[in-house]
Amino acid sequence: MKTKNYLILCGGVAVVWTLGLLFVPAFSNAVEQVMLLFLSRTAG
Amino acid sequence: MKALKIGLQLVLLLALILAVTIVTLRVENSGADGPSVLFPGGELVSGELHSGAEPDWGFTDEVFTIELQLERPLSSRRIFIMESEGKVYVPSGYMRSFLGRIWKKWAFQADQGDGLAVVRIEGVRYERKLTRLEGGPALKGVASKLASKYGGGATDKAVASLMKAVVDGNTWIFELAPRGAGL
Repeated sequence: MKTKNYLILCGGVAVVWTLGLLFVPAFSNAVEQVMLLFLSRTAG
Repeated sequence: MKALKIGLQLVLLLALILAVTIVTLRVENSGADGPSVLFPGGELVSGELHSGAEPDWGFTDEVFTIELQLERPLSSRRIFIMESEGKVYVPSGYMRSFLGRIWKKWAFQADQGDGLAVVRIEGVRYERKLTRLEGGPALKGVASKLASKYGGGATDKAVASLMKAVVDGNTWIFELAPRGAGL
């Protein structure tokens, strides 16, 4: 993928992801649960 | 070479998503009335403020997590709670690991600061003072409750392991003491 297209992809993903976290509670809760699972398995 | 470039782009995209997630959720929660599952919240505002005699803390055996807010700095998080011999305690694990030092910063702040805190349990707020328990006769009962409530059961081995973790400083235990205690 060309750099320009890649940067556009990154920007789009960041915007969509942020909006999802802010306005879709079920999505942000699911993301937090995945992060909590990761931390609880690796923090020791 | 092309595969390497694609792999690098994927890694950077994942890192971007992780960074966006952490920043967004942290900022979103920082002023909230209480914490989310993972990220700290702000001041505990809603809920009746308990006054009067000490409650019978036995009811917390049926409560999986509570919300704990430090007065300084003003931030809150979810945490386990254990009742033992009429007193209530909260744990903080992984204290000697790298992630623990980042994740459990509140425990260092409580230990080094004045320890003043507010907890919200089933919608009722209680003003408390966090006092670290590093050993002594109360530790066995607390470790036993921690093992039975949140571990696989209070076997002798599990309790001894938890007591060792506390003495070694890998797990910290704070008593949620009344604010007037010790004054």
